[in-house]
Amino acid sequence: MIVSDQDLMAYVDGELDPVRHEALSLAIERDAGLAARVAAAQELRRNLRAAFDVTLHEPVPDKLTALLTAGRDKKTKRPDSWRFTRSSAWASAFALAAGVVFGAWLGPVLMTHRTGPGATQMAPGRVATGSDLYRALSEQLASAPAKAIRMELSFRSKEGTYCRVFASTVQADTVTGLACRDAEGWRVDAMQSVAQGANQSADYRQAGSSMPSVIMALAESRMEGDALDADAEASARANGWIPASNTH
Amino acid sequence: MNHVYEEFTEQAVLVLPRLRRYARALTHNAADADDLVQVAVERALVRRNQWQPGTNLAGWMITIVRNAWIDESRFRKRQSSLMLPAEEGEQVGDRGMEPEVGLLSIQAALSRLPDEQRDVIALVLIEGFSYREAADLMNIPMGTVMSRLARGRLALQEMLDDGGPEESRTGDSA
Repeated sequence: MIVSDQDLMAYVDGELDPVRHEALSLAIERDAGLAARVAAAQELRRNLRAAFDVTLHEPVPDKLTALLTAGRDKKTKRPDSWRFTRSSAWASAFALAAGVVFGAWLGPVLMTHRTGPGATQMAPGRVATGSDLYRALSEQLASAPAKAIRMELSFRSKEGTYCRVFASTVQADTVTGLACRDAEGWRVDAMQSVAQGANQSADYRQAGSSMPSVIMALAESRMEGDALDADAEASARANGWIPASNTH
Repeated sequence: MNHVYEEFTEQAVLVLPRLRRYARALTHNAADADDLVQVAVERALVRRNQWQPGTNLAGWMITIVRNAWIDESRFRKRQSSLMLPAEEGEQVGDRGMEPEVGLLSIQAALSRLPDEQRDVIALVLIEGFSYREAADLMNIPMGTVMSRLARGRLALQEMLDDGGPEESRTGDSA
């Protein structure tokens, strides 16, 4: 019986339907070559697991646990444990000086000015109606499967408008941004490319981390309450991301 | 709202070891792995309202780790095209804990696989997701999961048969 590698591995992984599984079990009893292949695949599975069991059973570094427990201990409504190490007010000011790029998003092509540390601030940009980004901001929920454009979270700003944090892979770069909805459409208030994030001073950006904390810190400083949950997001989308007026 | 937050953080603490294991399989380097988990936990905390209590938190958070890793990989590729490839040699890690020689060869072999093969092997063989779950998580067809798994495992087999020291038997050194 000739068994493909994929079928053999599916057998070892317990992914074959019962009928084929049984057929293969019988074939293995009669075919030494097949049995050897199965044994090798099973051994590789075992060894892979064993190699990483070490990590699974290590004590978790305090700095990771602290992210989750520090806020609890302080009994604050929004935990400080996950705030970035600077205050939000600082973050807003720092963002403007440290390389957050304000650019115009024309259709699917991102136009930015790439500069080093101490980048100049440019005017906020409008998202072109009909562009992929506009569509994603208007229609895509944060819970949607990851695509080229990803919605990170949505929230009500202190001004009462709806804002969203998005991440987009454009031209082999990841750009994260904050966009808010006004009467005319979507306006991008801040954007940062991952590569630019690397230029920031070391104490601001953890080595190996790519998520621009600046964008998240800005979002957090603008946020009224918590980020929207799935229901609230769906509801906001249904209302075109325009807050319902108080008088109906 | 406070109660939901506590339920989230309590469960998330229990999930941390799995996140670390998955990140370690992806990055090979222990320090990078923990940085990746840190970014993922920060994101998860901000987005915690999107998680439905009672549903699979581990899967939800592993997805966040995965997205952070994808972002990070793109960033590194872009950096390496701008800078001298000084970081290349660091892939084969001998920092941190030194497991027995046999086990090290598996981790090193895994680190040499293409990203997409390493990723699916980490999800299915190490984290224990089913083919269907992995396909949904990665947003690819199940057939692609199976073919990447097969290619990756054959490549591992070959690397371990070829170059590595003796296949690991747990524990015993010569």
